[in-house]
Amino acid sequence: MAKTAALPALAKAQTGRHPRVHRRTLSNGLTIIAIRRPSVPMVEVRLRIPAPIAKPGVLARTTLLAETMLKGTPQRDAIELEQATGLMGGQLNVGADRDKMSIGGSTMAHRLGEYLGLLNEVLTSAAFPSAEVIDERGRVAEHLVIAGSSAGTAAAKAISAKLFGQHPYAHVVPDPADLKAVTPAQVRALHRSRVLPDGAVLVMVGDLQPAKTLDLAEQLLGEWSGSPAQQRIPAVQFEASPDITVIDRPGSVQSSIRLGMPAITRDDAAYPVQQVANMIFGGYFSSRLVGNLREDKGYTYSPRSMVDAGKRAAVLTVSADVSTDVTAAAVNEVRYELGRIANTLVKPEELTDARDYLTGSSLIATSTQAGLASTVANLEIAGYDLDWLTASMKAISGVTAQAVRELATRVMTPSEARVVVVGDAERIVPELATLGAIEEL
Amino acid sequence: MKLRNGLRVVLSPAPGSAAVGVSVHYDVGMRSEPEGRTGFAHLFEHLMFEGSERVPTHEHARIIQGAGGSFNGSTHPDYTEYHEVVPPHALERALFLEADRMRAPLLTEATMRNQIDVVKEEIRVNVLNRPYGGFPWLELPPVLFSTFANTHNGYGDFVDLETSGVRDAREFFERYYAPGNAVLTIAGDFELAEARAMVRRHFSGIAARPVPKRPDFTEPIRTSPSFGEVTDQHAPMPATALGWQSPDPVKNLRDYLGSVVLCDVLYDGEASRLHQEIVIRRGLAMSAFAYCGTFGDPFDQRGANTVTIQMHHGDASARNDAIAAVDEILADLAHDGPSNDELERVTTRMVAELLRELDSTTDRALRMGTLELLYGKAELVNDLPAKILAVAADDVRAAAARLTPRSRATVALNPANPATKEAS
Repeated sequence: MAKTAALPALAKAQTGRHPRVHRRTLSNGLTIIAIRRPSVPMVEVRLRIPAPIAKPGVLARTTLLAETMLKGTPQRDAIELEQATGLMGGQLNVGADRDKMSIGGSTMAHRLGEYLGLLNEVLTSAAFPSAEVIDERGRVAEHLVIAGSSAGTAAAKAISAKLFGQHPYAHVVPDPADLKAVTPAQVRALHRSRVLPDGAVLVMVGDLQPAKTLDLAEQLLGEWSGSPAQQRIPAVQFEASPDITVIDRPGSVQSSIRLGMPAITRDDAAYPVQQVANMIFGGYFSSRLVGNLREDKGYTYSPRSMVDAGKRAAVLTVSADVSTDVTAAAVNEVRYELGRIANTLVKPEELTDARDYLTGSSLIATSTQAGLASTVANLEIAGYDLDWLTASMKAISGVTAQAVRELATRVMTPSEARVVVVGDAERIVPELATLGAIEEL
Repeated sequence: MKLRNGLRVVLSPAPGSAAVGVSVHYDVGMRSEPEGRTGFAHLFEHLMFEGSERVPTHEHARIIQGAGGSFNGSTHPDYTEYHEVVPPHALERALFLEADRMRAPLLTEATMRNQIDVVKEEIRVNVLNRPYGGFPWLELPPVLFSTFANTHNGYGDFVDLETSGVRDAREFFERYYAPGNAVLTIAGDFELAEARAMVRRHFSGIAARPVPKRPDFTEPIRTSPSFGEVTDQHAPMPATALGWQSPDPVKNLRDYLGSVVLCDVLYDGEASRLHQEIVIRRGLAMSAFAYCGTFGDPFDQRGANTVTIQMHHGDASARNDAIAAVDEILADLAHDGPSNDELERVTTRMVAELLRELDSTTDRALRMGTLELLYGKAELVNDLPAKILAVAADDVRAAAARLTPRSRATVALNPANPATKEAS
C-alpha cells in the first residue's frame, strides 16, 4: 500500500500513567479495590463473583437468578430498591456468563455509601418472592424465544455446541423450556450457595478517596459472609468435526457463517502472540478479514474474529454474515485466510499496526472510569491484575512475525476450524458441498 | 472559533484524560437526500472512508488504528458525523485525515460499487434478516409524518442504492460538505494553543463554498390518528409502536424537556409507569419502553421529532388492551402529573447519565459537536443538567396532555410465523 506522503509526524508519546490500585482482602474473603479517577463526580462499581456453570442445568438457574435478584429484600420491594437507586443517580444491574456473575453499575460519588449499603442488602437478603419470580420467569422465557429467532443467536449456539459437545460450555443461552422449569426455591438455593464473598472481587473507580473508600466498603459489606463449595468444571475435550454444519433458516437473505477453533488461555506464555495474530487476522477494521471480505469483495458488512478466554478453555471464533448467494465463496475465503496466516509470514506493517493498536487501544479503554473499572474487575476475577496487563502490553510490543506464524499453526488453521452456517439450506447446500461434507441439522 | 471558510471549531481540553477525540459534524442527514436517492446520505458516509486526495483508499483505518486509535461515523436524520479517538500524540494525524476528506474525497466508481454492496449487507444484517429489524424507526415515520423527507427509508431502497453513481456523490459532496456546513470538535487531552495552530494549518486551506439553505422539516401536529401494519418474517411475537410529534427540540427546548422527562417517568426501569402497569400488573406486554428521538437519543435532531412508546406482546390479543392502558397512564399523568418521588428519581438519574457520558472522550466530542450543530451552543452540555433538574411536575403534565389518541400514529407489527405458546 502506498505510504501517505503528507502525513504529519506523531508527537512524542506519553508514557502510560499507571493508576494506583488500593487493595484489601476482608476477613470474609472478599477482595475490595479502590482506584481514584476524579474525572467526573461519579463512581463505577463492579462486583464479580465466581459462578462456574459446572453442569448444563445450572445455566437456566443462574440466568433466572440474575433476572430476579433485584425483586426485593425483606426491607424493600423491587420498586423501593429501584427508587432508592435512582435517587442516587445510580444504575444497578445483574448479569451472568459461564464463569461468573457480574453485579454493579454506577452512582453519584457522594452517594457511594448508600449504594454499597443497598448492594449489601441485596447480596445478603435478596428474597426472590415466589410470585414475582414466576412472573419474571415467563417473560424471560418469551425473550429467549425472541432471541432464538435471530440468526446470530442460532449461529452462536450452534458453534458452541459443535466445539464443546457434552461440556457445559456448549450452552450459551438457556432453552426456554429449561428456564420455565426453574422454581423460586431453586433460585433461592443457588443464591445461598453461590452469591458469597469468599473469592469475589469488588472494584470501585471514580471520584473517591481510596483509603476511606476501602474502610467504607469493609464496614458496609462486613455482614456478607460465606464460602462457596469448590465447583469443578470438567476439563474440556474439543469435539472434532470436519463436516460443515448447516442449520436451515428458510428465506434467509444472509448466511451467518461461524468458524470456531480451540485457542490458548491467558496463562499460556504465547497469549500476547495470539492477541496480535487475531488482530491481524480479523480483530479490527484494518484486518485481513475486513480487507478481503468487505473492502475487496463486498460480501459482508462486519466480518470479525475474536478470542473468548473462559476459565477452562479459550475459543477463537470467526464470524461473517454474508449475502446468501456468496456463502460458499465466503467460507472459502475465510479458510484461505486461515491457511495464509498459518503458512506465510505476516508483513512488517501488519505486525506494527496490530501491536500499536493493541497497546494504544488498551490505554484509551482504561482512560474512563467505566472502562478502567470493567477492565480491572474482569482481570482480577480471572486471577490477574493491572501489572499483568502492563507486562502483557510490553510482550505484545515484542511479538515477531515468526511467533505469529508459529502460533497460527497451533491455533488458526483451516483444519482446526469447525464450520457452522445458518442460512437458506436449499440455496446454500449445493455450493457448500463443493467445500466438504455437509451435516444438516 | 470560526475559520474564514466558515468552519466552526469547538475545543474542549481536559488535561490528563489520556485520549483525544475528534469529530466532524456535517449539517446533512437522511432527511436531506433527494427522492429516488433514499439511503444516499448513509452511502456517502461510507464513501468518505474510502480515501481522499492525499490518503489512498484503505489507509484511513490503518493510520488511525496503527496509532492506537478507533474511528467510526454515523448518519442521522439531520446530520452525519465522523469521529476518531486517538492517543494524544496522534492528534495532528486525525486532523489531517478529517481535513483531507473534507477538502477532496476520492469518490471513485470502484469504491462506490463496493460500498453499495457493503451497505446492502449492512441493511440485511440489521433490518431484513433480523426479527423486528428497523422497528420502529423505519416503520413509524411513514405513518406519523407526511413529507418525503420525514417518511422515506433512510437506510435506502436497494434499487435507489444500486442506481446511484459517482456523479450523484460529487454533487452531494459539493452541495453539502462545504466547510461552512460543518462543525469540528476536539475534546480531551490536548493543549489549546497547539490545537488551534494545527486546525488552522490543516483546515484554513479548504476553500469556502456556498452553504445550502437549511430546509425546515417540521410538519403540523396530526389532528387525526393514523394506523399502519407490518408483517415480520422473523419475529415470533407481535409488537406495537405508538408515536407522536414532540415539541421542537431546538426552538422549544423548554417544553421539549418536559417530554424528555415524561419518557423516563414512563420508562426508566422496574419502578416506572409503563413497566409496572403494563408489564407487571396487567401482563399485557413483556416489555414496554418510551423515548424521545428517532433512535432514542433525545438531543439528536431538530423539529419533526418523535415521542415513541414501544411494546412487545406475547400474543396479539393483548394489543388493544395495552394501548388502552397506555392511554390511561397518560391521562393520569396529564391530570395529576408525576409524584415528587418519580420526578426526583428520573431527573437525578438523567443528570448522572449525562455526567457519565462526559467521562468518555468520544462521547463528549460527539455530544458537543451535535449540540453546536443543532443548537449553535456546545456549552449546552454544561447547562443541560440544571435545565433537566428544573423541569417541574407541571411541565411533565403538559407533556403527557400532548400525547392524545387523536394526534398519534400506531404501527402494529405481526409475525408472519407466530410462535405458539406451546412451542415457546
